[in-house]
Amino acid sequence: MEAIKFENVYFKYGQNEAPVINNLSLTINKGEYVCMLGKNGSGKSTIARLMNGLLLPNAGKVTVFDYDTLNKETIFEVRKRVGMVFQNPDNQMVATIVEDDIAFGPENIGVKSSEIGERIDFALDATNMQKYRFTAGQKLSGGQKQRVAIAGVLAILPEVVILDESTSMLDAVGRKEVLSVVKELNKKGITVISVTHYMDEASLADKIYVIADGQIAMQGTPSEIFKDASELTKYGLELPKSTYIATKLKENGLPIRGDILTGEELAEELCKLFQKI
Amino acid sequence: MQIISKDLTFAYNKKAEFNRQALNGVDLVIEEGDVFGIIGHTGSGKSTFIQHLNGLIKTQSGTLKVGSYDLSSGVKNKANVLKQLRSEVGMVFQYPEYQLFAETVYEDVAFGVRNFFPSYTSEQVDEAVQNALNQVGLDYNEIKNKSPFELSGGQKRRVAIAGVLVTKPKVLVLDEPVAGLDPQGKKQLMKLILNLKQNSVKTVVIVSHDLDEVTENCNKVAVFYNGKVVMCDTPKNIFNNVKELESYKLGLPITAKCTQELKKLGVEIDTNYKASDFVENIVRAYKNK
Repeated sequence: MEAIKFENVYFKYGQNEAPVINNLSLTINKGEYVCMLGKNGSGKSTIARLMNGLLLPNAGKVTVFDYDTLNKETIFEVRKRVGMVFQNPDNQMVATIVEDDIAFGPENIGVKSSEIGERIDFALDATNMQKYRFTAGQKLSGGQKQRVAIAGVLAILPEVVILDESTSMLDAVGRKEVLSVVKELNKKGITVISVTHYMDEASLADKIYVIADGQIAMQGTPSEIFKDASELTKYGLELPKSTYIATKLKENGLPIRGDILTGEELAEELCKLFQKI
Repeated sequence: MQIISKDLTFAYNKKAEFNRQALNGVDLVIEEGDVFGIIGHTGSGKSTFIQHLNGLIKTQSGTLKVGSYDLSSGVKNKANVLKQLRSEVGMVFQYPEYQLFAETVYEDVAFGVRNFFPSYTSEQVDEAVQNALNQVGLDYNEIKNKSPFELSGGQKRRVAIAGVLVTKPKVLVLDEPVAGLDPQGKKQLMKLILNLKQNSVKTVVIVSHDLDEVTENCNKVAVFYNGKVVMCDTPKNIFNNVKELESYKLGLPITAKCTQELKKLGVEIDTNYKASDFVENIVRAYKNK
Protein backbone atom coordinates (compact mmCIF):
# COMPACT_ATOMS: atom_id res chain seq x y z
CA MET A 1 0.00 0.00 0.00
CA GLU A 2 1.28 3.44 -0.90
CA ALA A 3 1.72 5.72 2.10
CA ILE A 4 3.18 8.80 0.44
CA LYS A 5 3.43 9.56 -3.22
CA PHE A 6 5.13 12.49 -4.99
CA GLU A 7 4.26 13.01 -8.64
CA ASN A 8 6.39 15.52 -10.56
CA VAL A 9 6.56 17.88 -7.59
CA TYR A 10 8.05 21.36 -7.83
CA PHE A 11 8.50 23.74 -4.94
CA LYS A 12 10.11 27.13 -4.38
CA TYR A 13 10.12 29.32 -1.27
CA GLY A 14 9.67 32.67 -2.98
CA GLN A 15 8.16 33.78 -6.24
CA ASN A 16 11.49 34.91 -7.64
CA GLU A 17 13.62 32.17 -6.17
CA ALA A 18 15.01 29.09 -7.81
CA PRO A 19 12.99 25.93 -7.18
CA VAL A 20 14.21 23.86 -4.24
CA ILE A 21 12.36 20.74 -5.40
CA ASN A 22 12.69 19.95 -9.06
CA ASN A 23 10.29 17.51 -10.66
CA LEU A 24 10.48 14.98 -7.86
CA SER A 25 8.59 11.71 -8.01
CA LEU A 26 8.81 9.02 -5.38
CA THR A 27 6.65 6.49 -3.60
CA ILE A 28 7.01 5.36 -0.01
CA ASN A 29 5.09 2.25 0.94
CA LYS A 30 3.36 1.59 4.22
CA GLY A 31 5.67 0.04 6.78
CA GLU A 32 8.91 1.10 5.10
CA TYR A 33 11.83 2.70 6.96
CA VAL A 34 13.20 5.30 4.60
CA CYS A 35 16.12 7.64 5.05
CA MET A 36 16.82 10.89 3.21
CA LEU A 37 20.45 11.94 2.88
CA GLY A 38 21.96 14.95 1.17
CA LYS A 39 24.06 17.98 1.90
CA ASN A 40 22.83 21.11 3.65
CA GLY A 41 20.46 22.87 1.30
CA SER A 42 19.77 19.86 -0.93
CA GLY A 43 16.02 19.95 -0.21
CA LYS A 44 15.67 17.05 2.24
CA SER A 45 13.81 18.99 4.92
CA THR A 46 11.61 20.66 2.31
CA ILE A 47 10.60 17.20 1.08
CA ALA A 48 9.76 16.21 4.66
CA ARG A 49 7.56 19.28 5.06
CA LEU A 50 5.79 18.58 1.78
CA MET A 51 4.88 15.16 3.14
CA ASN A 52 2.38 16.42 5.70
CA GLY A 53 1.19 19.55 4.01
CA LEU A 54 3.27 21.98 6.06
CA LEU A 55 4.44 23.08 2.62
CA LEU A 56 2.38 22.67 -0.51
CA PRO A 57 3.72 21.93 -4.00
CA ASN A 58 3.77 24.73 -6.59
CA ALA A 59 3.25 22.13 -9.28
CA GLY A 60 2.72 18.40 -9.24
CA LYS A 61 0.94 16.41 -6.59
CA VAL A 62 1.66 14.97 -3.16
CA THR A 63 -0.75 12.33 -1.92
CA VAL A 64 -0.80 10.82 1.55
CA PHE A 65 -2.87 7.63 1.72
CA ASP A 66 -4.68 8.93 -1.35
CA TYR A 67 -5.45 12.34 0.21
CA ASP A 68 -4.13 15.19 -1.93
CA THR A 69 -2.27 17.64 0.35
CA LEU A 70 -3.60 20.53 -1.76
CA ASN A 71 -7.16 19.72 -0.77
CA LYS A 72 -7.95 22.00 2.17
CA GLU A 73 -10.90 19.94 3.25
CA THR A 74 -8.85 16.82 3.88
CA ILE A 75 -5.63 18.38 5.15
CA PHE A 76 -6.39 17.18 8.68
CA GLU A 77 -6.76 13.63 7.37
CA VAL A 78 -3.18 14.06 6.15
CA ARG A 79 -1.84 15.57 9.36
CA LYS A 80 -3.53 12.90 11.47
CA ARG A 81 -1.65 10.27 9.54
CA VAL A 82 1.75 11.92 9.32
CA GLY A 83 3.46 13.14 12.48
CA MET A 84 6.69 15.08 12.47
CA VAL A 85 9.53 15.38 15.00
CA PHE A 86 11.90 18.29 14.54
CA GLN A 87 15.53 18.99 15.36
CA ASN A 88 15.58 21.05 18.51
CA PRO A 89 14.24 19.28 21.60
CA ASP A 90 13.69 22.61 23.34
CA ASN A 91 11.36 24.00 20.69
CA GLN A 92 8.77 21.27 20.72
CA MET A 93 7.29 21.33 24.21
CA VAL A 94 3.99 23.12 24.49
CA ALA A 95 2.98 22.18 28.04
CA THR A 96 4.75 22.24 31.38
CA ILE A 97 4.51 18.54 32.18
CA VAL A 98 5.01 15.52 29.96
CA GLU A 99 1.46 14.19 30.22
CA ASP A 100 -0.10 17.49 29.12
CA ASP A 101 2.36 17.83 26.31
CA ILE A 102 1.38 14.46 24.90
CA ALA A 103 -2.34 15.26 25.31
CA PHE A 104 -2.01 18.39 23.18
CA GLY A 105 -2.12 16.57 19.84
CA PRO A 106 -5.14 14.33 20.49
CA GLU A 107 -7.05 17.21 22.13
CA ASN A 108 -6.41 19.27 19.05
CA ILE A 109 -7.89 16.75 16.67
CA GLY A 110 -10.93 16.32 18.92
CA VAL A 111 -10.26 12.98 20.57
CA LYS A 112 -12.76 12.37 23.40
CA SER A 113 -11.29 13.18 26.79
CA SER A 114 -12.21 9.69 28.04
CA GLU A 115 -9.93 8.27 25.38
CA ILE A 116 -7.02 10.64 25.85
CA GLY A 117 -5.75 8.88 28.97
CA GLU A 118 -5.35 5.65 27.01
CA ARG A 119 -3.56 7.44 24.23
CA ILE A 120 -1.09 8.91 26.73
CA ASP A 121 -0.48 5.47 28.23
CA PHE A 122 0.13 4.02 24.82
CA ALA A 123 2.50 6.82 23.76
CA LEU A 124 4.48 6.66 27.01
CA ASP A 125 4.79 2.88 26.72
CA ALA A 126 5.97 3.04 23.13
CA THR A 127 8.69 5.55 23.95
CA ASN A 128 9.65 3.99 27.27
CA MET A 129 8.84 7.20 29.16
CA GLN A 130 6.23 5.94 31.67
CA LYS A 131 8.40 7.06 34.58
CA TYR A 132 8.29 10.67 33.46
CA ARG A 133 4.55 11.11 33.04
CA PHE A 134 4.33 13.92 35.59
CA THR A 135 7.81 15.36 35.11
CA ALA A 136 8.32 18.95 34.00
CA GLY A 137 9.66 19.22 30.47
CA GLN A 138 12.67 21.30 31.37
CA LYS A 139 13.94 18.63 33.77
CA LEU A 140 14.38 16.09 30.97
CA SER A 141 17.56 15.39 29.01
CA GLY A 142 17.66 16.07 25.28
CA GLY A 143 17.07 12.43 24.41
CA GLN A 144 14.13 12.27 26.80
CA LYS A 145 12.64 15.45 25.35
CA GLN A 146 12.85 14.02 21.85
CA ARG A 147 11.14 10.87 23.08
CA VAL A 148 8.35 13.04 24.48
CA ALA A 149 8.13 14.77 21.10
CA ILE A 150 7.77 11.34 19.48
CA ALA A 151 5.20 10.34 22.11
CA GLY A 152 3.23 13.50 21.30
CA VAL A 153 3.18 12.45 17.68
CA LEU A 154 2.23 8.86 18.53
CA ALA A 155 -0.74 10.02 20.56
CA ILE A 156 -2.51 11.01 17.37
CA LEU A 157 -1.99 7.40 16.19
CA PRO A 158 -0.17 8.30 12.98
CA GLU A 159 0.65 5.91 10.18
CA VAL A 160 3.85 7.74 9.32
CA VAL A 161 6.45 9.36 11.59
CA ILE A 162 8.91 11.80 10.03
CA LEU A 163 12.12 12.62 11.90
CA ASP A 164 13.76 15.76 10.60
CA GLU A 165 17.30 15.62 11.99
CA SER A 166 15.74 14.68 15.30
CA THR A 167 18.96 13.30 16.75
CA SER A 168 21.41 15.98 15.66
CA MET A 169 21.34 17.88 18.95
CA LEU A 170 21.60 14.79 21.14
CA ASP A 171 24.59 13.06 22.73
CA ALA A 172 25.44 9.44 21.94
CA VAL A 173 23.20 8.07 24.68
CA GLY A 174 20.26 10.27 23.66
CA ARG A 175 20.66 9.25 20.03
CA LYS A 176 20.64 5.59 20.94
CA GLU A 177 17.46 6.02 23.01
CA VAL A 178 15.63 7.75 20.21
CA LEU A 179 16.80 5.35 17.51
CA SER A 180 15.78 2.28 19.46
CA VAL A 181 12.30 3.75 19.96
CA VAL A 182 12.09 4.48 16.24
CA LYS A 183 13.16 0.96 15.32
CA GLU A 184 10.50 -0.52 17.60
CA LEU A 185 7.81 1.68 16.05
CA ASN A 186 8.80 0.55 12.60
CA LYS A 187 8.58 -3.09 13.68
CA LYS A 188 5.01 -2.41 14.77
CA GLY A 189 4.18 -1.28 11.25
CA ILE A 190 4.61 2.48 11.42
CA THR A 191 6.22 3.98 8.35
CA VAL A 192 9.37 5.89 9.32
CA ILE A 193 11.00 8.62 7.28
CA SER A 194 14.23 9.92 8.70
CA VAL A 195 16.17 12.94 7.47
CA THR A 196 19.69 12.84 8.82
CA HIS A 197 23.36 13.69 8.39
CA TYR A 198 24.50 10.62 10.29
CA MET A 199 25.55 7.93 7.86
CA ASP A 200 25.38 5.24 10.52
CA GLU A 201 21.76 6.17 11.20
CA ALA A 202 20.99 5.82 7.51
CA SER A 203 22.32 2.28 7.57
CA LEU A 204 19.35 1.29 9.78
CA ALA A 205 16.86 2.06 7.01
CA ASP A 206 15.33 -0.30 4.42
CA LYS A 207 15.86 2.25 1.72
CA ILE A 208 17.94 5.39 1.27
CA TYR A 209 17.25 8.32 -1.01
CA VAL A 210 20.17 10.63 -1.68
CA ILE A 211 18.83 14.05 -2.53
CA ALA A 212 20.76 16.65 -4.54
CA ASP A 213 19.33 19.88 -5.97
CA GLY A 214 15.81 18.84 -5.09
CA GLN A 215 15.97 15.61 -7.04
CA ILE A 216 16.74 12.00 -6.28
CA ALA A 217 20.42 11.48 -7.06
CA MET A 218 20.71 7.93 -5.77
CA GLN A 219 18.35 5.37 -4.28
CA GLY A 220 18.77 1.88 -2.92
CA THR A 221 19.35 -0.23 0.16
CA PRO A 222 22.09 0.95 2.54
CA SER A 223 24.56 -1.61 1.21
CA GLU A 224 23.87 -0.51 -2.35
CA ILE A 225 24.25 3.16 -1.51
CA PHE A 226 27.41 2.73 0.55
CA LYS A 227 29.13 0.63 -2.10
CA ASP A 228 30.56 3.57 -3.96
CA ALA A 229 32.38 6.22 -1.92
CA SER A 230 33.30 8.41 -4.90
CA GLU A 231 29.71 8.90 -5.96
CA LEU A 232 28.65 9.74 -2.40
CA THR A 233 31.37 12.38 -2.12
CA LYS A 234 29.83 14.18 -5.10
CA TYR A 235 26.70 14.71 -3.03
CA GLY A 236 28.49 15.95 0.09
CA LEU A 237 28.25 12.59 1.82
CA GLU A 238 30.71 9.96 2.92
CA LEU A 239 30.77 6.33 3.96
CA PRO A 240 29.73 5.42 7.49
CA LYS A 241 32.94 5.13 9.48
CA SER A 242 32.77 1.35 9.86
CA THR A 243 32.18 0.93 6.11
CA TYR A 244 35.13 3.23 5.45
CA ILE A 245 37.41 1.20 7.70
CA ALA A 246 36.26 -2.08 6.15
CA THR A 247 36.92 -0.71 2.67
CA LYS A 248 40.42 0.37 3.67
CA LEU A 249 41.17 -3.04 5.18
CA LYS A 250 39.99 -4.71 2.01
CA GLU A 251 42.20 -2.45 -0.07
CA ASN A 252 45.09 -3.65 2.04
CA GLY A 253 44.38 -7.23 1.10
CA LEU A 254 42.41 -8.41 4.11
CA PRO A 255 39.62 -10.86 3.25
CA ILE A 256 36.79 -8.86 4.78
CA ARG A 257 33.18 -8.38 3.70
CA GLY A 258 32.67 -5.22 1.69
CA ASP A 259 29.12 -4.48 2.80
CA ILE A 260 29.70 -3.68 6.46
CA LEU A 261 27.47 -0.90 7.76
CA THR A 262 27.72 -0.74 11.54
CA GLY A 263 30.38 -0.83 14.23
CA GLU A 264 28.96 -4.12 15.55
CA GLU A 265 29.26 -5.74 12.14
CA LEU A 266 32.83 -4.52 11.78
CA ALA A 267 33.83 -5.84 15.21
CA GLU A 268 32.18 -9.17 14.46
CA GLU A 269 33.87 -9.45 11.08
CA LEU A 270 37.29 -8.59 12.51
CA CYS A 271 36.86 -11.20 15.23
CA LYS A 272 36.00 -13.84 12.62
CA LEU A 273 39.01 -12.84 10.61
CA PHE A 274 41.42 -13.25 13.51
CA GLN A 275 39.78 -16.42 14.78
CA LYS A 276 40.41 -18.17 11.48
CA ILE A 277 44.15 -17.90 11.83
CA MET B 1 47.98 31.10 27.02
CA GLN B 2 47.90 28.29 29.50
CA ILE B 3 44.58 27.63 31.21
CA ILE B 4 44.63 26.34 34.78
CA SER B 5 41.51 25.52 36.73
CA LYS B 6 41.69 24.35 40.33
CA ASP B 7 38.75 23.26 42.41
CA LEU B 8 36.34 25.34 40.39
CA THR B 9 32.77 25.07 41.62
CA PHE B 10 29.59 26.67 40.38
CA ALA B 11 25.90 26.46 41.23
CA TYR B 12 23.05 27.96 39.22
CA ASN B 13 20.61 29.96 41.36
CA LYS B 14 23.08 29.59 44.20
CA LYS B 15 21.04 31.43 46.78
CA ALA B 16 17.70 29.91 45.86
CA GLU B 17 16.30 26.81 47.44
CA PHE B 18 16.29 24.95 44.12
CA ASN B 19 19.90 25.60 43.24
CA ARG B 20 21.70 23.22 40.97
CA GLN B 21 25.36 22.39 41.40
CA ALA B 22 26.84 22.40 37.90
CA LEU B 23 30.56 22.25 38.72
CA ASN B 24 31.87 20.29 41.68
CA GLY B 25 35.55 21.15 41.75
CA VAL B 26 37.02 21.14 38.27
CA ASP B 27 40.78 20.54 38.13
CA LEU B 28 42.14 20.93 34.64
CA VAL B 29 45.18 22.24 32.77
CA ILE B 30 45.00 23.14 29.09
CA GLU B 31 48.40 23.90 27.60
CA GLU B 32 49.08 26.45 24.90
CA GLY B 33 49.09 24.63 21.57
CA ASP B 34 46.60 21.95 22.58
CA VAL B 35 43.67 20.90 20.47
CA PHE B 36 41.76 20.00 23.55
CA GLY B 37 38.60 17.91 23.49
CA ILE B 38 35.95 18.10 26.21
CA ILE B 39 33.48 15.23 26.33
CA GLY B 40 30.81 14.13 28.78
CA HIS B 41 27.11 13.33 28.70
CA THR B 42 24.46 16.03 28.68
CA GLY B 43 24.41 17.95 31.97
CA SER B 44 27.95 16.97 32.99
CA GLY B 45 29.11 20.60 33.25
CA LYS B 46 30.97 21.06 29.97
CA SER B 47 29.16 24.21 28.87
CA THR B 48 29.20 25.77 32.32
CA PHE B 49 32.94 25.23 32.46
CA ILE B 50 33.79 26.76 29.10
CA GLN B 51 31.72 29.84 29.85
CA HIS B 52 34.11 30.52 32.71
CA LEU B 53 37.05 30.74 30.32
CA ASN B 54 36.23 34.22 29.09
CA GLY B 55 34.44 35.45 32.15
CA LEU B 56 30.90 35.01 30.88
CA ILE B 57 30.24 33.20 34.13
CA LYS B 58 31.79 34.65 37.23
CA THR B 59 33.78 32.21 39.32
CA GLN B 60 31.97 31.36 42.56
CA SER B 61 34.82 29.48 44.18
CA GLY B 62 38.15 28.08 43.13
CA THR B 63 41.11 29.22 41.06
CA LEU B 64 41.01 29.93 37.35
CA LYS B 65 43.90 31.38 35.39
CA VAL B 66 43.72 32.03 31.68
CA GLY B 67 47.19 33.18 30.59
CA SER B 68 47.93 36.26 32.63
CA TYR B 69 44.29 36.80 33.55
CA ASP B 70 43.30 35.74 37.03
CA LEU B 71 39.61 34.83 37.10
CA SER B 72 39.73 33.16 40.52
CA SER B 73 36.97 33.78 43.00
CA GLY B 74 37.47 36.93 45.01
CA VAL B 75 39.62 38.60 42.33
CA LYS B 76 37.97 41.75 41.03
CA ASN B 77 38.63 42.34 37.35
CA LYS B 78 37.81 45.70 35.89
CA ALA B 79 35.43 45.86 32.95
CA ASN B 80 38.18 46.82 30.50
CA VAL B 81 40.31 43.86 31.61
CA LEU B 82 37.40 41.47 31.02
CA LYS B 83 36.79 43.07 27.66
CA GLN B 84 40.39 42.46 26.66
CA LEU B 85 40.17 38.87 27.91
CA ARG B 86 37.10 38.32 25.75
CA SER B 87 38.90 39.55 22.67
CA GLU B 88 41.68 37.04 23.36
CA VAL B 89 39.48 34.08 24.24
CA GLY B 90 36.96 33.64 21.43
CA MET B 91 33.82 31.68 22.14
CA VAL B 92 31.81 29.97 19.41
CA PHE B 93 28.53 28.68 20.80
CA GLN B 94 26.41 25.81 19.54
CA TYR B 95 24.68 26.64 16.28
CA PRO B 96 26.39 30.06 16.17
CA GLU B 97 24.56 30.93 12.95
CA TYR B 98 21.47 31.63 15.06
CA GLN B 99 23.36 34.62 16.42
CA LEU B 100 23.87 36.33 13.08
CA PHE B 101 21.96 39.59 13.13
CA ALA B 102 23.32 42.26 10.80
CA GLU B 103 22.12 43.20 7.34
CA THR B 104 25.34 42.26 5.60
CA VAL B 105 28.08 39.74 6.24
CA TYR B 106 30.54 42.63 6.52
CA GLU B 107 28.56 44.36 9.26
CA ASP B 108 28.09 41.13 11.16
CA VAL B 109 31.77 40.25 11.21
CA ALA B 110 32.84 43.86 11.85
CA PHE B 111 30.67 44.08 14.97
CA GLY B 112 33.27 42.29 17.09
CA VAL B 113 36.20 44.50 16.08
CA ARG B 114 34.25 47.72 16.48
CA ASN B 115 33.03 46.57 19.85
CA PHE B 116 36.42 45.48 21.20
CA PHE B 117 38.63 48.01 19.42
CA PRO B 118 36.64 51.25 19.11
CA SER B 119 39.76 53.18 18.19
CA TYR B 120 40.27 51.22 14.95
CA THR B 121 40.13 53.25 11.74
CA SER B 122 37.78 52.04 9.03
CA GLU B 123 40.81 50.69 7.11
CA GLN B 124 41.83 48.63 10.12
CA VAL B 125 38.29 47.30 10.46
CA ASP B 126 38.27 46.42 6.74
CA GLU B 127 41.51 44.57 7.09
CA ALA B 128 40.38 42.64 10.16
CA VAL B 129 37.10 41.60 8.48
CA GLN B 130 38.89 40.58 5.31
CA ASN B 131 41.39 38.56 7.29
CA ALA B 132 38.70 36.80 9.34
CA LEU B 133 36.64 35.86 6.29
CA ASN B 134 39.77 34.56 4.54
CA GLN B 135 40.56 32.40 7.53
CA VAL B 136 37.20 30.66 7.31
CA GLY B 137 37.64 30.13 3.58
CA LEU B 138 35.12 32.69 2.31
CA ASP B 139 35.79 35.15 -0.50
CA TYR B 140 35.64 38.65 0.99
CA ASN B 141 34.62 40.48 -2.17
CA GLU B 142 32.05 37.95 -3.13
CA ILE B 143 30.34 37.71 0.22
CA LYS B 144 30.77 40.96 2.13
CA ASN B 145 27.61 42.66 0.88
CA LYS B 146 25.36 39.63 1.04
CA SER B 147 22.77 39.19 3.73
CA PRO B 148 23.94 36.46 6.11
CA PHE B 149 20.45 35.00 5.91
CA GLU B 150 20.67 34.15 2.22
CA LEU B 151 23.71 31.93 2.74
CA SER B 152 23.74 28.14 3.08
CA GLY B 153 23.93 26.53 6.51
CA GLY B 154 27.65 25.82 6.23
CA GLN B 155 28.45 29.35 5.04
CA LYS B 156 26.40 30.93 7.81
CA ARG B 157 28.36 28.97 10.37
CA ARG B 158 31.62 30.14 8.83
CA VAL B 159 30.50 33.76 8.93
CA ALA B 160 29.59 33.34 12.60
CA ILE B 161 33.03 31.90 13.34
CA ALA B 162 34.66 34.76 11.39
CA GLY B 163 32.78 37.12 13.70
CA VAL B 164 34.70 35.60 16.60
CA LEU B 165 38.07 35.32 14.81
CA VAL B 166 37.97 38.97 13.87
CA THR B 167 39.42 40.01 17.23
CA LYS B 168 42.38 37.65 16.67
CA PRO B 169 41.77 35.47 19.72
CA LYS B 170 44.66 33.38 21.06
CA VAL B 171 42.33 30.77 22.44
CA LEU B 172 39.30 29.57 20.51
CA VAL B 173 36.59 27.68 22.36
CA LEU B 174 33.97 25.91 20.23
CA ASP B 175 30.84 24.18 21.51
CA GLU B 176 29.84 21.42 19.05
CA PRO B 177 31.31 23.28 16.07
CA VAL B 178 30.26 20.82 13.36
CA ALA B 179 26.87 19.63 14.66
CA GLY B 180 24.11 19.67 12.06
CA LEU B 181 26.40 19.92 9.02
CA ASP B 182 26.57 17.35 6.26
CA PRO B 183 29.58 14.97 6.36
CA GLN B 184 31.69 16.88 3.82
CA GLY B 185 30.80 20.17 5.48
CA LYS B 186 31.89 18.69 8.81
CA LYS B 187 35.19 17.54 7.42
CA GLN B 188 35.94 20.85 5.75
CA LEU B 189 35.04 22.94 8.78
CA MET B 190 37.08 20.76 11.11
CA LYS B 191 40.09 21.04 8.81
CA LEU B 192 39.64 24.76 8.74
CA ILE B 193 39.48 24.96 12.54
CA LEU B 194 42.70 22.98 12.85
CA ASN B 195 44.34 25.22 10.24
CA LEU B 196 43.57 28.28 12.34
CA LYS B 197 46.49 27.26 14.50
CA GLN B 198 48.80 28.57 11.82
CA ASN B 199 47.42 32.05 12.50
CA SER B 200 46.80 33.91 15.73
CA VAL B 201 44.90 31.07 17.39
CA LYS B 202 47.27 29.06 19.56
CA THR B 203 44.92 26.86 21.50
CA VAL B 204 41.66 25.23 20.39
CA VAL B 205 39.15 23.84 22.88
CA ILE B 206 36.37 21.72 21.37
CA VAL B 207 33.30 20.47 23.19
CA SER B 208 31.87 17.50 21.32
CA HIS B 209 29.44 14.61 21.58
CA ASP B 210 31.12 12.84 18.72
CA LEU B 211 33.83 10.58 20.10
CA ASP B 212 35.09 9.69 16.63
CA GLU B 213 35.61 13.36 15.92
CA VAL B 214 37.53 13.83 19.16
CA THR B 215 39.82 10.85 18.48
CA GLU B 216 40.61 12.10 15.00
CA ASN B 217 41.36 15.70 15.93
CA CYS B 218 42.36 16.26 19.55
CA ASN B 219 45.72 15.65 21.19
CA LYS B 220 44.19 15.66 24.64
CA VAL B 221 40.76 14.91 26.05
CA ALA B 222 39.02 15.67 29.33
CA VAL B 223 35.98 13.69 30.43
CA PHE B 224 33.41 15.62 32.47
CA TYR B 225 31.10 13.76 34.82
CA ASN B 226 28.84 15.27 37.48
CA GLY B 227 30.61 18.61 37.30
CA LYS B 228 34.13 17.20 37.63
CA VAL B 229 36.96 16.24 35.35
CA VAL B 230 37.21 12.49 35.92
CA MET B 231 39.72 11.65 33.20
CA CYS B 232 42.22 13.79 31.32
CA ASP B 233 44.68 12.22 28.94
CA THR B 234 45.52 11.49 25.30
CA PRO B 235 42.63 9.99 23.30
CA LYS B 236 44.60 6.75 23.18
CA ASN B 237 44.80 6.40 26.95
CA ILE B 238 41.24 7.57 27.48
CA PHE B 239 39.70 5.07 25.08
CA ASN B 240 41.91 2.26 26.38
CA ASN B 241 40.00 2.57 29.61
CA VAL B 242 36.71 1.01 28.58
CA LYS B 243 35.30 0.11 32.00
CA GLU B 244 35.85 3.56 33.40
CA LEU B 245 34.33 5.27 30.36
CA GLU B 246 31.22 3.15 30.64
CA SER B 247 30.73 4.25 34.22
CA TYR B 248 30.67 7.84 32.94
CA LYS B 249 27.89 6.97 30.50
CA LEU B 250 30.08 7.38 27.47
CA GLY B 251 30.37 4.99 24.58
CA LEU B 252 33.43 4.22 22.52
CA PRO B 253 34.60 5.32 19.08
CA ILE B 254 34.12 2.53 16.52
CA THR B 255 37.84 1.81 16.38
CA ALA B 256 38.01 1.39 20.16
CA LYS B 257 34.94 -0.87 20.14
CA CYS B 258 36.60 -3.18 17.62
CA THR B 259 39.92 -3.16 19.48
CA GLN B 260 38.06 -4.12 22.60
CA GLU B 261 36.29 -7.06 20.94
CA LEU B 262 39.56 -8.31 19.49
CA LYS B 263 41.20 -8.08 22.89
CA LYS B 264 38.64 -10.52 24.24
CA LEU B 265 39.97 -13.00 21.68
CA GLY B 266 43.51 -12.36 22.81
CA VAL B 267 44.40 -10.17 19.83
CA GLU B 268 46.12 -7.01 21.05
CA ILE B 269 46.04 -4.03 18.69
CA ASP B 270 48.17 -1.07 19.66
CA THR B 271 46.51 1.98 18.13
CA ASN B 272 45.75 5.60 18.87
CA TYR B 273 42.22 4.91 17.52
CA LYS B 274 42.45 7.25 14.55
CA ALA B 275 40.92 5.45 11.57
CA SER B 276 44.13 5.50 9.51
CA ASP B 277 46.28 4.28 12.39
CA PHE B 278 43.74 1.60 13.28
CA VAL B 279 43.66 0.26 9.72
CA GLU B 280 47.46 0.20 9.59
CA ASN B 281 47.76 -1.74 12.84
CA ILE B 282 45.02 -4.23 12.01
CA VAL B 283 46.72 -4.97 8.70
CA ARG B 284 50.06 -5.42 10.46
CA ALA B 285 48.62 -7.69 13.13
CA TYR B 286 46.87 -9.79 10.48
CA LYS B 287 49.94 -10.21 8.33
CA ASN B 288 52.14 -11.06 11.31
CA LYS B 289 49.92 -13.89 12.42
